[in-house]
Amino acid sequence: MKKKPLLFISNSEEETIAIARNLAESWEGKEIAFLYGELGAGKTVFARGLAAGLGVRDIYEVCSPSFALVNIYYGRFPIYHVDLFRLDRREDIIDLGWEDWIGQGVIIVEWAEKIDFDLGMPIFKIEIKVGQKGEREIYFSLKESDNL
Amino acid sequence: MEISANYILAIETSCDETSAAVVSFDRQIRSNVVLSQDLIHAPFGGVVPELASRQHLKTILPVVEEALRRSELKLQDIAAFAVTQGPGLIGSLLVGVCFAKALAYYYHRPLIGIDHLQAHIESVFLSHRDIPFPSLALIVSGGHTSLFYLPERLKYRLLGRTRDDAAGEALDKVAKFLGLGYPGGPIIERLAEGGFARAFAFAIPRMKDNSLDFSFSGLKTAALKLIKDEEITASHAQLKDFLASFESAIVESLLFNLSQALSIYKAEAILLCGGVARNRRLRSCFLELGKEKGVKAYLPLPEYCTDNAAMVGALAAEIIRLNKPIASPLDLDAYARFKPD
Repeated sequence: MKKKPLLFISNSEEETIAIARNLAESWEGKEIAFLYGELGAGKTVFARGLAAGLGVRDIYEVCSPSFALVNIYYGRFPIYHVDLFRLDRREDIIDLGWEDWIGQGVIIVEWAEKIDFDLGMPIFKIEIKVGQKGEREIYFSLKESDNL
Repeated sequence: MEISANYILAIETSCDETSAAVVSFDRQIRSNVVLSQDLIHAPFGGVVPELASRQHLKTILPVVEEALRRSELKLQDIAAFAVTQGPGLIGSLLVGVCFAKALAYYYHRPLIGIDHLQAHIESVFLSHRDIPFPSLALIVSGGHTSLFYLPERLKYRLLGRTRDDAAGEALDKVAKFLGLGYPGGPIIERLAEGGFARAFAFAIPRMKDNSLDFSFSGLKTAALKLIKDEEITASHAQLKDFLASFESAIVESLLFNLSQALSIYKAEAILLCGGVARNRRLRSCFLELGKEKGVKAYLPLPEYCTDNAAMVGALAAEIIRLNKPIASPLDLDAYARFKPD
């Protein structure tokens, strides 16, 4: 049985940040969030909101990890902000070091559709769509691990 | 060949490139080997090392051996080792750091940890010895967009950094979206040549809080929206104009902050470095800004713009020359983001 994803509408970066902050405020430090959405949809902005909810003080520290592949921030827990934009080969994605991060902190993944393996943890799936007037539709659902 | 041990072996593995260089204490570059995706040939069977740290593990030994071979020196002749500590991809950095630590330990030589952004700034000093201080340095690459104030030699103060995407990243992403290829910067530069840079209007981002931070995410999103609205494709009649306008907006945005910094800080010179410093539009507008503001403007040679170990070795040589303390080398650790204070 599949639950319908929750839908939030955001009309600005500030609103997106607020939605993400509310979501992450109650997190306990081992959550994994997969972010989906086209270029410019606002995945990094959403990640910034999650980081704010996780207690990162300087939210401008949160920037796109497309080049570095992973940025690490420290809020109440370590936050591993991963971006698979420029990785295409499966072995490179597996090689990133997931085993060092899982259970050690919160993992936020941009371009998560490139992951085709199970991380052994429940996944918060967040999909951001750009609406007709430039507003963002943010769909939120929880997926259990295949291995649980 | 000189026997006196006055050479530094420098290693750089902060991102995609594996690089090693031998630099003398008086900053002569004896060798500088950069293994990037374009330069891989026979000894590596044409394998393109992806950025993963495991690939650095495979390439670091042959790259260091090649740097030594070209310098006609042996490890015993090396007086000090230098390595990029960060910022960069942590797994990749660790390969270089551990490799350099092992060498320093085995040969009982000092190990100098080098900041990647400071090394980029040093690339400008490789070809210009008489840069006046205080000066301002703008570092622009695929992964970094940062502005530093340099009160004197080897002193760095971060004034601004990107709050979202790096400038090179915005170029890469727009190029990828249009299916133009990777890396986007050089491709856009080539395709934009002769294009009318005022054909498409881009709003240059301004920080509301008067900060000298950069932001390129908005320009990227604006470009993607234009691509959709105007149905721009790789074969569109106005592609050249569109790319010229976008590239020009990026350049304008970068130099706006530099110009703002010049009005706040007294500076005698401006420096531009990093991979995107190879971009001709940026280079020429940068030199133009220098003229307009009456300050000297300095650029590195194009081959030292992208990541390389020569700039790492040169900075280590300067640190040794100025007798800066070299802190507990074998405790040296890599860092992913800005240099810890």
